[in-house]
Amino acid sequence: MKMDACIVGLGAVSPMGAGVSALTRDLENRLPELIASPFSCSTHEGDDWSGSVPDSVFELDNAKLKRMPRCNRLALMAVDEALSHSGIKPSDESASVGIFYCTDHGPESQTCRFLDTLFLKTPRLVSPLLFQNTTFAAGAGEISMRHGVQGPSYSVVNGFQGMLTAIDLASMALSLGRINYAILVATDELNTLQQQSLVSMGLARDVGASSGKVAHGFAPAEGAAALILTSPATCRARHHKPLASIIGVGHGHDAMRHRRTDPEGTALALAMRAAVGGEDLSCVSSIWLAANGHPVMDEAERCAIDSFGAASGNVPRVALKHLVGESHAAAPGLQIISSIHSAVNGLIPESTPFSLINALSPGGGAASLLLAAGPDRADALID
Amino acid sequence: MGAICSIAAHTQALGQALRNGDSGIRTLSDRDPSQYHSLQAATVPNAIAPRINADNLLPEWSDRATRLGSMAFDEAIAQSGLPSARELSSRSALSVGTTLGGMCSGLRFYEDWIKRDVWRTRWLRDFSPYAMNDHLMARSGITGMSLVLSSACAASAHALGTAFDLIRTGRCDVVIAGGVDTFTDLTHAGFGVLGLLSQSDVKPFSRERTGLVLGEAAAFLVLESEHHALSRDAEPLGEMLGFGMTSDAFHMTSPEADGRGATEAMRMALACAEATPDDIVYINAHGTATQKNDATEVLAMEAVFGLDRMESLPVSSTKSMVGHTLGAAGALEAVASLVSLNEGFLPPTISTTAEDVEFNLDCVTASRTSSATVAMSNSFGFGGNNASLIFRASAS
Repeated sequence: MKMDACIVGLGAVSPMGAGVSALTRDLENRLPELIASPFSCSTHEGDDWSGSVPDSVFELDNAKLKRMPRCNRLALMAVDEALSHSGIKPSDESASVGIFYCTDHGPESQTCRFLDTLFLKTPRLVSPLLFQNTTFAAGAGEISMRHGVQGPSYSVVNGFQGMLTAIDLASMALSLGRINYAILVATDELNTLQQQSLVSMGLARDVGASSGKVAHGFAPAEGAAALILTSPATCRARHHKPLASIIGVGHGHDAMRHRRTDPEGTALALAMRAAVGGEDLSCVSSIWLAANGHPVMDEAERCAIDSFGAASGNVPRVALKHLVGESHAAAPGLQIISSIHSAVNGLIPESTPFSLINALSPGGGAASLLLAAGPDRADALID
Repeated sequence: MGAICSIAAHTQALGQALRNGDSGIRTLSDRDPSQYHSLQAATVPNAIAPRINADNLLPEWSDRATRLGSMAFDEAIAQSGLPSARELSSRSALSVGTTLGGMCSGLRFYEDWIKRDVWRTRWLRDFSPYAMNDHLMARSGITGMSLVLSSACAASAHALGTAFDLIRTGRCDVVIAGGVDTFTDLTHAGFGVLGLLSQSDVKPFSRERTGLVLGEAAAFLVLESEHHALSRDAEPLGEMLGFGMTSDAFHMTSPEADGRGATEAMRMALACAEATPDDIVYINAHGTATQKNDATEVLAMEAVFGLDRMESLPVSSTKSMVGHTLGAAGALEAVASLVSLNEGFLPPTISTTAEDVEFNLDCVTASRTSSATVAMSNSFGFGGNNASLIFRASAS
C-alpha cells in the first residue's frame, strides 16, 4: 500500500478534559459498551451531560488569549500538546511548516457578541478585536503567530469531515514538497446559538431538557484535536517515531437534498471505497464510526458498511461519540487519536494493522481514512 | 468560467465592463450616514442580474451567496461544455473560497432573534459556509470532494490553488473552483471600525488612496487535467501554471511592513510554474487601496521582480471597479485576468491617474491593448494569508 504521511504528534481537548491522556483515560473500560451497540447512542439521553470542556482545563489564561474565541483557545491547547509531543519547533523550520485549521461552526460566540453591538447599539461602536475574531481564518492566524509558522495556511470549513479533508490536503502538500511538516487542528465550540439551532433543525437532542421535546439526535459537544504530520522521508531523515501512517483518504457526497443525509449512505460508501481502495473491508480491523445517535445519519453509516457485504459485519465498530458527544469538525480527530491509543495498547484484538475512521456531515458530505495505527506498524511501513 | 459582480452578470459582460473601465461602486441610499463610516459599496444591482432571486432549483430561503454562486457556477459549467452529472462524478471536486458563507441569512436570523425574540430556523439553513457547497453538489452531480476554504481575502485564491494541486497530483480530473462573498452589515461595520473604508472612490497605488470599498461577487473556473480536456476535445480558456501560499505569522489584520510573506508567495508561485520573473507580463494586484496593503505589496513586487522591471511591468487593481469582494476576490480577479488577456487588453485601475501613482511602477490607469499572455494574480488576507497564482491565457 502507498503511504503518504505519518503522524508524529497528538493533542486533544475534549469534554473528558485537556490532553490525550484525558481523552483515552477511560477508553479501555468503556470500549466494550462503545462497540456493543454502535448505532444506538443513548449515553447522554435524558441526563444533564453538557458536552462542554470543563472550564478548569483552560491553561492559556493570559489576557489576550482570554479574549480569543473559545474554539481557538481549544485549538491552541491541542496544537501546543501535539507540537510538544512531536518535539518539533515550527519557528526553527521556517516556511516548511503548514497549518491546516478545520472547524464547522467557527468562532460563533464572538460573532454573536459582535452582532449584539451591531443590532442593539450602532455599527459605529462595534469592536475591531471582535471583528477580526469573527473570521474563520483567525484560528490559523493565531497558531501561525504563536508558533512562528510561515508556510501555507489552510482554513477548512468542511462540516464534520473537515479533519479528514485536511489530512488529504496536508498529505498532498507534503508529497508536492510544499511543506515538511503539517500542523492539523480541528476544533468546534459549544454556544447557545449553535445548540439551539441544531435542535431546531432536528439534528441535535435537547440535552438536559426536562421536557424531552427532541427525542432523537446527537448530543452536541466541543473539543479540539491536533495532529502533526510529516512525510515518510522526513520521518526517516529526522528520526521521528511515527505513531501512525496515513494509508488512504476517500471523499464522497450524496449530491442529493440540501442539509439532509441520504439514508442509504451513498456518500460514505463512496468515501470508504476510495479510502480502502476497493470493495473489500477485510483489511480493516476496526471501524471508528461517525455514529452520533442521529437516526438518519446512523442508518446511512450502517448501510454504507453493509454495502461491503456480509463479511463487513465481523469488523468491530467503535462509536466514540457515546463517550465524547458530537464535536463536529473535531470528532474525526478524536476518533483518530483514540484509534491510535487503542492500537498501541492492544485494546481491540486486531488481525490486520488497519483502522478505518469515518466522518459524515448532515449536508451529505462524507470522508473516510485508512490508518495504520501504532508505532511498530508505522515504522514497518516506512522501512 | 463564470462570474457575477457589481459591473457584470456574466463573463462576456465582464470583459466589456473591464475594457470600458466601468465602476460598480455606488452610494447606499438606505443607510443612515451617521451610523456608518462609509456608505460606498459595490453590490450586484438587480438591474444587471434580475435572475438572482428567480432560481427555481433553489429553495426560497436560499442565501444570497448561494444565489450568486449558483449563477456563476452554472455559467462556468455551461461554458466548459462538461456534458452531464456522469462527467462530474467522484473523480471531480468542488473547491470554494468564502469568508462569510451564508452570512446574509445569519444576519437576518440574528436580528429577528435578538431584537424581536423571534426564532426563524429557515434563515439558519444556509448560514454555514459549507451549505452552499451542498446546493452546488446537488446541482451538478459531483460526488467527490466538497471543499470550503475560508482564509479571509485569500480564500478563493487558495481554493483555486488547491484545485490546481488536486489535479496535478492526480487526485481529480476536474475541479470546479471559485469563490463567493456578499456585501453584509457585519463586514461593512467591521472594516469601517478598522478605518479601512474609503468614503469615495477606490484609488489603488495612488498618493490619495483612502481605503477600500466592499463589494460582492461570485466567480468559478472549471479546472481540468490536460488529459481529460483533450479526451473530450474541450477548448481551454487558459492554463494555470503556478500557485504559492504563505503565512505572515505577524498580525491578524495588518501585513508585515517588509512584505516578506507576500514576496515568498510570489516566489513560490514562480518556482511552482518553473517560471522566471521575466516570464510574467502582467500583474493583477491585490491592490486594496489601503495605505499599508499597497505599500507592502509594492515592496514585495519590487523584491521579486526588481526595481527596474517594475517600471515597465504592467500592474492593475480591478478592485477599483468591483470593490473588494473578500473571499471571492481571488477567483474574480483570475477570471478578470484571463478574460482580459484573451481579449487582448489589460484592465485598468480606474480612479487612479498616472500622475497620482505614488510608487515606481507601471500602473495601468486606462485599459490598454496588450498581447500579454502570462499573468500573476495576488491575494492577501487577514490572519496573514498570502496567495499568488500564475496563469497563461489561451491566446498563446
